[in-house]
Amino acid sequence: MKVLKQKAWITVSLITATVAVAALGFNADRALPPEDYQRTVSHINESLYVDSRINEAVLERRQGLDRNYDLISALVARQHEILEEFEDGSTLARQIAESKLNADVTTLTAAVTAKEESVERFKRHYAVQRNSFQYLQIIIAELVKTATENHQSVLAVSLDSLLHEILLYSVTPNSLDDERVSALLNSLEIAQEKLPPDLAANVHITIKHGRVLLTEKTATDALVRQILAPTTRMLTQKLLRNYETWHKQRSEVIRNHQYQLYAISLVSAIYLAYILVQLTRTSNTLKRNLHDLSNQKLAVDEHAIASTCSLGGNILSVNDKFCALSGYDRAELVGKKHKVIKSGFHSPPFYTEMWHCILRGEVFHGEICNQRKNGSYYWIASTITPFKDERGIIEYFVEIATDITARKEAEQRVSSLNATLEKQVEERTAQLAETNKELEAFSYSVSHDLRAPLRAISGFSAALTEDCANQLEPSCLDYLDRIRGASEKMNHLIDDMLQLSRVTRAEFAATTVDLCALAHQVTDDLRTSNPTRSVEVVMPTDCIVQGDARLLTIVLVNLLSNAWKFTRHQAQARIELGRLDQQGEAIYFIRDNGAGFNMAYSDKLFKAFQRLHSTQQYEGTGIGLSIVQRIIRRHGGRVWAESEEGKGATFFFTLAPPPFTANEGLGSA
Amino acid sequence: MRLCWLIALLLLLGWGCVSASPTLESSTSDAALNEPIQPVPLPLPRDAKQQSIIALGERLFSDPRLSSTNTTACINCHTLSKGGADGERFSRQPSGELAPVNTPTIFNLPLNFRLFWDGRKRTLDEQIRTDPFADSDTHWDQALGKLKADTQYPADFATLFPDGLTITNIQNAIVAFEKSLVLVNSRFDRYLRGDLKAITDAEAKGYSLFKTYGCTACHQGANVGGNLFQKFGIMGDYFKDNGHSNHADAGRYNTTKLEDDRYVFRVPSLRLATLTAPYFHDGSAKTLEDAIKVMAKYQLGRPISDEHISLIIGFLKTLPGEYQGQPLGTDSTP
Repeated sequence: MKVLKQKAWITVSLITATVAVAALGFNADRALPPEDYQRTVSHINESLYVDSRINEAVLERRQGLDRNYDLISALVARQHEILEEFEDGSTLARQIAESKLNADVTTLTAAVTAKEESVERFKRHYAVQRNSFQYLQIIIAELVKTATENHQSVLAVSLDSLLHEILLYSVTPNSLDDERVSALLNSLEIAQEKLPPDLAANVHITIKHGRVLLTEKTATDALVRQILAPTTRMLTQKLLRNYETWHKQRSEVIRNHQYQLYAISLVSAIYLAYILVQLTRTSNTLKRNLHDLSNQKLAVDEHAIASTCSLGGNILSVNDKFCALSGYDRAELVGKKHKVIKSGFHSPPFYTEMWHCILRGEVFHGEICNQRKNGSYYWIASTITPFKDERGIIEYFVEIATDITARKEAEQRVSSLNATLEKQVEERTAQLAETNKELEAFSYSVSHDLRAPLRAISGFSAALTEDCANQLEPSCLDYLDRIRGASEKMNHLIDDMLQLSRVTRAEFAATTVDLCALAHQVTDDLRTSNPTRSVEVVMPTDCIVQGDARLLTIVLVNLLSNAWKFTRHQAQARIELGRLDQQGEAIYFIRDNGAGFNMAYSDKLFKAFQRLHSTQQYEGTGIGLSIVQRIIRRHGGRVWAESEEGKGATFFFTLAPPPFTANEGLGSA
Repeated sequence: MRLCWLIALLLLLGWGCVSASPTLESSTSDAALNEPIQPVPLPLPRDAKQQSIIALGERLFSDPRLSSTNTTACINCHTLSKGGADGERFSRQPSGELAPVNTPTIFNLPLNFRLFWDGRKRTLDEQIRTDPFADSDTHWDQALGKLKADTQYPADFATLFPDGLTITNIQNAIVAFEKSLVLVNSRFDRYLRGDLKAITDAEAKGYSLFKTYGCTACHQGANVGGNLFQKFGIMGDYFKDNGHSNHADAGRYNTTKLEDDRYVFRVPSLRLATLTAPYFHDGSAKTLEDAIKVMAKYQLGRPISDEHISLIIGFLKTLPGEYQGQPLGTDSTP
């Protein structure tokens, strides 16, 4: 947003700058075509040229080199035209107005007009001067001839010198000669009175022309000086100079303006290129995004049920899956209220909560049951996302949903199944409890009811032995001993059976237990009851496990007393309790160097009342290891044994289910 | 190859120079270069459109509708067959009044440096657009209205001018016609151009006298005058001697209001002098002889014999020239 504003700002300022510079330079540009400049300069130069040509022509005319006024008149007329063109609204006049040189032109025009007037007067006076000068030559020549004929030699001489002076005078612009001609004319005037009438008349004409010549030549010389004065030339040059200065300044303004335009064009071009690159990038990104989006949409349409919905609850669009699932045509859905597929399964507060959630602008997740066109129901896992416009007002909702009808049905089946199972379990548990009670009752009756006759057998046979020993045959006493021994053995069997059943039914309370401490107590008891035996017992300082202390004591009693028992014939009896760690599993063992057993019968080891040795060799009921196995199983562990006959045996057990390792997992899979 | 072209080019140039030089020499006469009087320049060839505009101008020049009274055309006073004037001392204007000065010829006007006796206008364009036409009584708006009603003029103007019949175009056409009225190729011009047989010995003698008497001090150039101002009465007071002096007599003074310009007039051309009696601004000289005598006395300040006068008149008769290829007046016979 910020970047967009910045771009807009740059664009606006660029356009403003361009327009400003263009507007600023517009007049300047328009007012200065090079041909106008050249025309103006050449026009002023022509004026300069004509001005000097006028001077030349006037001088030539005065010196008699040119014999008419056509050239002068033409030049003066041309000069007049040139100046008129500065004021007649033509291109030149516009240039003069632009450069604010009207005052210069006015001054120049006044000077040129004055010069023209001087030229006109020069022509006028010079014509008269020329006439008198020409005629004086003729008339003086005639007079000299007449005077000579009439022997007027003085007159002839003075006329001759007058002619001489006039000839000199008329070609020199020197006013000093004025006085000499004037003096000669004066002396002629005096002489004239003494002359014969016809001669006097001609002398009179001569004097008259001489005085005209003097007057006109003075006027002509003054006019020529005026004409040759550099006023017009200087004013024209000044005009030219001022015009060129103005033009130069103007050109610089335009050039600057052009540079500004170039600069702005360059900046604009670069900026444009930048924007184009940006646009291309953006468009590529958009294309890519659009492509991704369409792919995603395709994927979503393939997978999910999608629809959009207006703020008012009207369906805006639906995808094919939606139609297929709901059983409606697209035309039947678009524009309609979303309610058409409402199932009535959910309570009104469910919908209210849903609407509140999405109207708050939050995403709604939920499982909704809808109704098909044919009246059947289907379930969807729906995600409704509200989309907001720039002002944060919700525009529409998009619902993406998955058909979970099958899952829902499965769930229902599972739950009903579970209910049945639970019922079965309850029934079985009840049966089991019943059976247990019966078993306990049986055990109780066995232990009590069987013990009572046993005690009678044992007690009466002992009484017989004590009271009637001397009355009986030694063989009878032996029989009585055997009866008592058998009944005691039976009593042991009953005890073990009761113990076995207790182990199975006992409460299981797991605590932290030190196996070694328990083992010490057990071995201490064994040493006390068999003080003649020397057995080396090896165990670590401690061996902490989790388990039921009471049950574990039974395990150790059975295993250690077995080891104690089967090492009886060893000179150096040795019992070792230890722990192994294999693949993260703690394995405990009790090893002895006793009689050992044949591994071929190892499967009989843990079965109740099964024995590998005869009672004569080693006493025992054959129930100990069966109890051990039950206790270990109650801990979730395993128990097994390794042995070789005559080389001792090792009983291993664990106190927890084996850890589920990756290898095992994979292997079992 | 390139060298061959270069040589060819050089040869061509060389030949051009050699062949051109004799033509240049023969085209100008040394005699004419030094003479105070010069031949009238031959007109540039005109295209068909210019010719049509001139013809149109000639019709307008002869059209009395240009006057408010529909009675007087330009040509009434500037009759081409009468040397471009009317032979009267003062022309009668449409209003009935007499003009204040003698009507000068309509011929050779472009050769004059100013127009009118007092030289108050510079060019024909300036004259036709700015002169109030007190003499001719033309009101342009009226004239335009009348010409628009004509059956022919609007179409003719439309073909010749982009904007058709307008006051400016009427004036342009008339001026174009006036500018065409330049007489060329007179016998004297041919003489100046080197044809020494174009004038007789007597006429040549007349020219010689014309120069000797100082006439060429003013009457010089291509138009034999018409290119400078001069005071009437240099060697004597003409107006005082004639006993009268009216407004028109003040001459250029009426324009400049300078005392120095009193009695100063434009020097008239003498090209058509033999055809345009009477003479002077006031038409006071009925014949050329009279005029020459007045000129000798008041302008040149010297006496002149009748013999010389007639010789000079003989020279003046060689001056008029041809109009549309035909000699005007007595010019034809040497």
